[in-house]
Amino acid sequence: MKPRVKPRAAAPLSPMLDGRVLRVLAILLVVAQAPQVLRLPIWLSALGVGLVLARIALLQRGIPVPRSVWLLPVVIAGGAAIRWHYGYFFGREPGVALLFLMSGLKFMETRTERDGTLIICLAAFLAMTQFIYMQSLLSFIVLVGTVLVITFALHALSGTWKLVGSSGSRLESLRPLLRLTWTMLMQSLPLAVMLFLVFPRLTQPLWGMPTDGSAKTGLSDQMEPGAISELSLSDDIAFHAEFSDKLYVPPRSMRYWRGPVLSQFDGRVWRTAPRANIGEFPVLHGIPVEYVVTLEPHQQRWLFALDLPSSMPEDEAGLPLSNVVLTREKQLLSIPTVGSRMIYKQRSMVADRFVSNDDGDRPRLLRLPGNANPRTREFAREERERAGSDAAYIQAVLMRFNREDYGYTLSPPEVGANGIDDFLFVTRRGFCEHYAGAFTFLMRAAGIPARVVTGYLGGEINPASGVMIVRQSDAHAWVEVWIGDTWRRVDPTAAVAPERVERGLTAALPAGERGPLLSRAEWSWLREIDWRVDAVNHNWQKWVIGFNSERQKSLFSDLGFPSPAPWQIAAIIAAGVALWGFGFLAWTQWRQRAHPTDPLDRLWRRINRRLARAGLPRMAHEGPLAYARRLSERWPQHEQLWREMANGYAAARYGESDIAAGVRRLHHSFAAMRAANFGH
Amino acid sequence: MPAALASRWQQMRSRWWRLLPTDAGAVRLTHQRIYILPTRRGWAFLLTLVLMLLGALNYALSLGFLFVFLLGGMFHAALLQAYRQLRSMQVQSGDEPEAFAGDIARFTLQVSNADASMPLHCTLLARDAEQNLVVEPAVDALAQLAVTTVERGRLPLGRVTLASSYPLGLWRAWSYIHFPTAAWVYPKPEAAAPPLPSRGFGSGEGRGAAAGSEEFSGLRGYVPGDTPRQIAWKALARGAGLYSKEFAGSSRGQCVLDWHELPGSLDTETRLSRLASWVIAAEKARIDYALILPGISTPFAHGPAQRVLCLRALAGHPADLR
Repeated sequence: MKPRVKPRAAAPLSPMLDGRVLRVLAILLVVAQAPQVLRLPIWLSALGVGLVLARIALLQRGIPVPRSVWLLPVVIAGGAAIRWHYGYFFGREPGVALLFLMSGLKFMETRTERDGTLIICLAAFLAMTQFIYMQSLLSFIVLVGTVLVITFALHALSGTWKLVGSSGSRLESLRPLLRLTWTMLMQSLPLAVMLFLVFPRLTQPLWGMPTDGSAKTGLSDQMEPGAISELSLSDDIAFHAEFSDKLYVPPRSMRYWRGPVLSQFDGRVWRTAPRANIGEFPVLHGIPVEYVVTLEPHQQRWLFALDLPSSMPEDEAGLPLSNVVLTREKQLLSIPTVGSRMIYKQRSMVADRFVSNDDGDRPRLLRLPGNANPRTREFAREERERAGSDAAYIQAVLMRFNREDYGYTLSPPEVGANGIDDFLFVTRRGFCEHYAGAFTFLMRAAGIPARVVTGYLGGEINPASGVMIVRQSDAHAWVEVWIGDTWRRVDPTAAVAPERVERGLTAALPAGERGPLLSRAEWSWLREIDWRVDAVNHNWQKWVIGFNSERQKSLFSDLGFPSPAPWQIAAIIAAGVALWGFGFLAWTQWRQRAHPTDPLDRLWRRINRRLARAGLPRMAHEGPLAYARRLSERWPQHEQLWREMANGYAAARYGESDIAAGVRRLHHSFAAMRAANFGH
Repeated sequence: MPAALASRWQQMRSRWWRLLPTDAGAVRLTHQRIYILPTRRGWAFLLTLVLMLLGALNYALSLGFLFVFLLGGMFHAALLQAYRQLRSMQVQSGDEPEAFAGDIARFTLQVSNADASMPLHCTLLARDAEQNLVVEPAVDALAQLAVTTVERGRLPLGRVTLASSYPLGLWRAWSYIHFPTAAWVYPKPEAAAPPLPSRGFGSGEGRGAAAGSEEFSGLRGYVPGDTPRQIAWKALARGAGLYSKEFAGSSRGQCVLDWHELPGSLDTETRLSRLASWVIAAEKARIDYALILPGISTPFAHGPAQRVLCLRALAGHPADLR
């Protein structure tokens, strides 16, 4: 009892935290920090986690915490280092880094309960930021764990948490606590699910989503030698495609997934056209296919479709996606960059040619800068003349790649200023981008309009899910040539290494060169596991992570509210919260009534259960004294015990004696019964 | 009209805040008197959740939503739990405590847990007293509220606040209970009081003469110095040994604690203090005493009943008009 001057003064009392609560907070912080540790610069991870551990080490040794002033240099130095590392200060990435650092610093000077509150809030916010970077199934497990730890920490901080002294093991004493946390989690689940489903999602971000997302692996809008071969070693997933008709999936050699079309050449680098012109769908003859693409966010604008798209991408309800256009180069572009996973339904015609009137573009499609690669130009002119027709010329060039000593490799030799000359006539070793680039150059030099198309070739069906996985290692570059009024796809790589087209990258690489990890034969077991994980993850991404405003809209229309007004959503949420709350309270009250809580009756029932186990249950109509008589007949040696037990109960229940005395007497009888090993 | 409204408002206020001691017997806490609001920590947590929700909205993070909503669900579950804590309680007032002014009066309240499935955690607050209590399932617990007393008289316990922020400290559920219980606060005994006044009522000097007129109360072992008249001859004749007859008040005498006999220079409170210390002294010496106050006089006696009677009379003595 601490007498206070003013009764119940509202002045905030901030009692000191005890060491145990501090340790719980440390656990919480480490749980919140851990998912970021590998992503952040190493010095920052070490500092943030180190501060937390240092505080606990000080506590362990009983050393007082340094005054907060001493932390100031760390704050300033840390802030400056973050600014230096990221190059700017106000943005998402440095923000997360700063939050990470601050959580450690704040913990260093945590002394009072109020500091503890702040630590919990900071940790919750920090834990939240991990989902910006990863939303896998594993993240979900981390999420549930974090929620439990936050609950635990709040409970510990509120002071009612007590480890039950020395009796029982430490784990034993944690049991009521675990039960409480678990019960509360179960209570929160229905509300969480309801809110997840009905809480309005935004189609547009509230504030500009900074495009400072870490550089993702994937195709880019330019192709320089070495760009794709580097990509080819990555097992990262570019997108999934689920074909509507599982019975007809186009064969691997026809699975050219169209991506950025590169028509500008500066002598070394191929680039996309600076302006995207809106185009129309061409008249197509081919095999129609329909599939759903789940595109991983790549921070670029293009969407992928099998060559050649025959419709605009649609959402699940079958409505064309807004903000997507088809360019004149038959490329699908999203107007905002793809910053989050995107799901769309797409139709294509599997064809290697299409008719298109691009006369206006002819000069652009023939342009070759300066006069580099003179030998290649000369060669092209001579070959074209000798061939007599464009088609024959194309064949001749492909024959040359096929017949002569050209090789397919991930690590081609260095080339000089006239890169294409060197490649074609000297080194003769290259990856798909070398062949596509050189082939386009040869076409343009011979007066045939041509362009490089990048994208992916192949993809494999995951046997565990039936969904096609297209990885970065499937990245490819090929060529389109315009002859007459028809664009024709030509893949020069196929002439050099037909295995690349038929069986994939690893099969096409020369002995001694290694492809991406998952495609190597000796890692097939890893691929098996990867397939399984991918199948689960794909469904997770599709149904949980992919739940966006469009999904929500279709859910509402399924429920009979095609487009609910905000007040209707608010009403649904309020009704759900109230219904769950009152329902829960009513249920507990009912349970409390249904199970009488009189200690005497409960003990009496326990004794009865024990005797029933011993072989002589009490009849429903039987009073305590009659039961005692029956017990005495069965076990006369304990007659005294039965009489005492029945009298104890009867006197308290029906007689003068009070309940507490009855409970005491029954406890004695119960102990005697146990001592005599009844009911075991 | 305004007057009627005002009085109605007064009534409501009185009922909501339990300003009057209207509770009696065993009070079961029901929704009608349970209030619940977030604590400071609750508000801070809620604010954090709102900020996190904005982040999830902006970056369209499905798991972010799930995280915020699960924590929000926890926040809601904490409300239900805190409410349940109070709903299962039944409170009853104990005996009226007594204390000397300046000491601590210990009020007892019996708190029962009607729920067989969970222990209840609560804090009781009244005046300057604060008591944390854990009531195991289906058990009654006694809470002691130690209230510091200041001056003699009746000290009502006043309104008791029963609060619980279990289990997460995010919500505070509370109830007001106002029993008419009041402590008896006796005058603070004078520290260096003069010795008991020797005798009252003309103080008959001859002990024997006075004792003879008294009522026989029992036998006790013979003590050298007892007069022959005291010896129980009949018992001796039966061969039972030497006993003395005892007469009430005969052995230790009696005294009168008379307000009017006190020096006129003393003020009321000092007089009461002195009388209180004399009551204690007389109880300690186990002599019969009578208390005479203006308007009240008690018979000769000693023992707990007499003590309480006298001290309450002193506590209840009207104060000087200032």
